[in-house]
Amino acid sequence: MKRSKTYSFRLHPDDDYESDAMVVIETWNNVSINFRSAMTDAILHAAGRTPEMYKQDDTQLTPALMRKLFSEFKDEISDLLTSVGKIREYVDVEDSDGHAALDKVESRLLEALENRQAQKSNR
Amino acid sequence: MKLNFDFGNADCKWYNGIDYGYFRHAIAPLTDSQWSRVSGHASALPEGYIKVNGLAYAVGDAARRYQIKQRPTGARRYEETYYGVGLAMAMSQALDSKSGKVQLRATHAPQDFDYTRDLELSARGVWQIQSHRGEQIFNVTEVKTLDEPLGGFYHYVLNKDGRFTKSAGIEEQTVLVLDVGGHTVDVVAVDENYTIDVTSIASTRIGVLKLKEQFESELRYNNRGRFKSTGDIDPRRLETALMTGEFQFGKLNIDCSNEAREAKQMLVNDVVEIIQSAGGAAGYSAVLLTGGGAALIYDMLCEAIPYLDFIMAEKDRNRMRFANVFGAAKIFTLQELSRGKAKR
Repeated sequence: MKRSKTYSFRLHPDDDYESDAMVVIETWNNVSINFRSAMTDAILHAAGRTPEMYKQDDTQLTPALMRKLFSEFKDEISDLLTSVGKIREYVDVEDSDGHAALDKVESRLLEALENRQAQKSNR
Repeated sequence: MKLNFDFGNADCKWYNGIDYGYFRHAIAPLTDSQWSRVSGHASALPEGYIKVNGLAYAVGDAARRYQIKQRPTGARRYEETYYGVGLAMAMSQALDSKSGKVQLRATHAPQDFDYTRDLELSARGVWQIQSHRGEQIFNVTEVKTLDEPLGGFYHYVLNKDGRFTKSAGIEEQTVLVLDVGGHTVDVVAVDENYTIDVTSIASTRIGVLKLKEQFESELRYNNRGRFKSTGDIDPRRLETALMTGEFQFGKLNIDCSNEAREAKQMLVNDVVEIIQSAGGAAGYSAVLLTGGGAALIYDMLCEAIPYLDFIMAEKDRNRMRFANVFGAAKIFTLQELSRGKAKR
């Protein structure tokens, strides 16, 4: 089984704050402002770089800057991840067919649904 | 397109993966002349009026202005010209597209389990809809069904992506899931380590509709002078009054906390009996509540059985009515993930 892990932060539309954030992102996208570029600009700005400086930077610098920023702001980031709870982290594990590998609890939860579906088709 | 739909006996709830909404369970067929009066003068149809495959209806609050012979409950709703109309209304509200194929995930009370085939047949097919959102045409090509208490449980233990959320924190507990709906109270037992006992799924015919009737009748009787010439009372006002204990009568706030408490107490007594006969505190360490009715009686239930831990499937009380459709979306996403079909 291929265990490729993807760590991602996702916004949830059923959360009031995150849904507001999605509206903002969509609004930006509609006026052709790419969210990823805007975030990169914000990160570089937080690292003390002006647009003139980072325009000439190659993207290789970004991981180093990210590391620097993470070390500088680790307390704030940790707060966001743990106490505020507005950012969630997920790990996706796929098998070699691209199917998501389920953990024991997920398999058990699904089993109940599928038992019920089987009961229905047997009637 | 995917649509999660709960045609409840009190309210019809939908969730399209991003937005959610509901309308009252009330459907009134309209005559041609009634339809002409509604559609003839305005450039767009008023909300709540809909034509489904050529037949006209008033749905939800709009239907209150027309005489409704009797509101069918339970499996009697599963007719193309009834369930289908509610579904068409939900699709018109939930789906932005003008046309497309729809995969429906429908929840139902466990007592309707033997009639899910009827539900499927009344939902499948092509729906031509004319509503305040213009003309739309949808083809419901797939219908999956789910028992409502399971929906509430899945909402609690799975995250938006259909993955198990470890923060659920009930792995070592035996939990009774209790869905308080309009016409039924449904239960399912969950053993340790999230093992759902599907053989325990059951429905009892009590619910919030009776509670609301009782409350309205007491409120009218105790304020008969004020309500003498009042026809139908807006159900939203009644619902707010049940929650707050104050009825807004024009500029006046009528204290109805006693009437609200008495009406809720009747339902609480019935629900306590269901919990006790299912095993009560001897059999379960927690009760997971789901459904809009549970939000109404949560506080009183905690008082009635203080030695049991009551958990709400949805932390926002105002969204408790959507817990089952949220859960349906999550478990079917997990099923698709396991089969490699879900979009990443």
